[in-house]
Amino acid sequence: MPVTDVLLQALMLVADPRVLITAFLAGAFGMFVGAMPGLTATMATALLVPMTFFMDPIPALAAIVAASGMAIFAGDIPGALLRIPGTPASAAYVEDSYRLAMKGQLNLALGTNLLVSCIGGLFGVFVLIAAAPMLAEFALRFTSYEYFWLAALGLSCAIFIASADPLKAGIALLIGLAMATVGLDPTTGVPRFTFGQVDLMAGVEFIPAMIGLFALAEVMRGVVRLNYGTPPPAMPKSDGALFRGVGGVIRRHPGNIVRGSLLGAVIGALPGAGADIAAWMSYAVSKRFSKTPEAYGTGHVEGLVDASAANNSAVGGAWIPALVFGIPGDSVTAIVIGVLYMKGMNPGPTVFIQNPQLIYAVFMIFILTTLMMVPLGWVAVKAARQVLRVPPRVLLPIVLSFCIVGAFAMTNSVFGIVVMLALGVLGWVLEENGFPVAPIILGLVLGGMFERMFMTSMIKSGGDLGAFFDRPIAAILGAAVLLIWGLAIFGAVRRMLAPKRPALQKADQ
Amino acid sequence: MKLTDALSGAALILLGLFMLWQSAQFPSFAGTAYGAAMLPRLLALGFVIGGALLVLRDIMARRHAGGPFVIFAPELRRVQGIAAMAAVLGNVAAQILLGPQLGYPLVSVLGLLVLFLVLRLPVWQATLLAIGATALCWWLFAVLLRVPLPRGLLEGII
Repeated sequence: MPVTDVLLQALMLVADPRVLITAFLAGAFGMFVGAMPGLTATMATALLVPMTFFMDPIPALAAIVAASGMAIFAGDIPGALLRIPGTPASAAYVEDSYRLAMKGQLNLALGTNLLVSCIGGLFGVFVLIAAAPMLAEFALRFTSYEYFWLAALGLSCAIFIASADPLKAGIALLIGLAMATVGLDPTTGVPRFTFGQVDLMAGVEFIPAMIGLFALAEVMRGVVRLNYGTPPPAMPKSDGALFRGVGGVIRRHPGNIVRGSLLGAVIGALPGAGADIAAWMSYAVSKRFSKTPEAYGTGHVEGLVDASAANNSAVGGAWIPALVFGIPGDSVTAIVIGVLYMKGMNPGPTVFIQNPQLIYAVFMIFILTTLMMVPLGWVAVKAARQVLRVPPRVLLPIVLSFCIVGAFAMTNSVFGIVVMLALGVLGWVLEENGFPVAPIILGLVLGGMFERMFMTSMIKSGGDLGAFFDRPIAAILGAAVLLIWGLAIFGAVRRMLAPKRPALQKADQ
Repeated sequence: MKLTDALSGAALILLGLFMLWQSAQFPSFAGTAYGAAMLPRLLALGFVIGGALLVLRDIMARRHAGGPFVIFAPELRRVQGIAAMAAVLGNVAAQILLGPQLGYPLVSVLGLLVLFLVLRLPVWQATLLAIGATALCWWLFAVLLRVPLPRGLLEGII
């Protein structure tokens, strides 16, 4: 099919008023959730999915893209107003935002956040548009060996790149993989860990699990930490037009925007690492190469530019491995993969050949919703003072209500609520004890593919493990996986054997 | 609720052993060492090794600094914190246990009312919010999206 025809079909899919209205409403919802401290972009997506379940693929994806992108920007608003990041992706530069606001430059901080987020978001989308089809063409030659190693690479990245404590991240990943083994075994058809429950035959329901881990656990954490006696916090005053002075900031820091966006897209594309890690890393890189590193954290706009561009660029970057290989770049795309499967739009290189109009429609939605961020963001900033006055003790029970009906809707039975409850409690306990929950979702999403590809490869090779390295790309991917593990084990052993001098000295004193 | 890593590790070792025992009952392909049991066995070994490493790490850390094995977060030591957590979990459990018989709307309004009151909202606000939130969810999911939320005692009325 000629490219113009594909583009025209995609445009017709996106120009549908239902898609535009859905994207607008989901964007407004994402803005609201992102702006409320304690509610994350992943939670916004998880709460939206039960509704997208009943939509066609394009409006469903439009809703997710709009909500996640807007939520990442909106997280900056309470950061500047209350010194509380709305989402973890805004935490890296919250100090600078707030101090700028206290200096009377609230609008400069938020205006810069908004425009740079939009530029970063567009950068990430263009990286996605450029990289995904190329990678898909390349991936068409992949067999089960390459997919096995890709899944292994994704799982390994989640442990060693995206976590401060690789051991706990690894255990969280094992929990996710173990949950993925529940249900009928894909090769032999034997029921595993179902304990006679018919509901478990199809496996652990993914969306209720997500709602439990990312929404119910957050509600549980939120209600026990409510502080009833504290009066509403004072917010810094607004100072005129939102975008006044922002043009000057952008003109003074074009290199920071490009560097932050590039870093964000690359980190977003790495499995397991999302917008929050992109923001932290680009803030650190920005400080390292700045002429005034001492000004960071005191109300300096430079780090804010780098990190704001990075966290929104990561949103588009995370879709690259998700669309091309079915490997999520972050928690939001883990949900997206689940939605793609539900909609019969199985992620992988073949979707680029069989349904290119759907892929191009997704790209168009990305551009549209990223541009939509500017007017919606403007409204959100103007309305923020009122929105942030909604007390958490009103909001959290309403979120809980949506969690319950959302989980029910995915199975049309209380079984969905049971899964949500179990995973919510598990997620809460794990996070309280320093185990990250994002690897659980990665394990749950990739577990099936990992096992299926391994078994297929074993059956094809008659049990010969050497066959996993016979094909050149498989060998390179396999070597990369072994290298990551080798370096991690080497580092851990070296740390263990290193004498603990400071501790001993302290003990001596 | 914070457990020490030694306790978490021990729980993971038990989980690994349980998975090993369960997976011993899964069949393999004839004449091969791999089949339905392979991945669960590998994961079980992972839990045992990971759990043991957590225990070891904790014991080594405790040589320098002791401390209790279970620490309740300060919020959960207050009656208010426990009541809030119980009300959240109670809401979910009530929908599982009572929802199919009494119906989603009734259980939701009562559950949310209790939760709002536990979170110290005035009665009139709690009542309005509980009814409003339930009505919104009902309209979005049962009316617009046609999700068969249980009507229970209100069957035939709504």
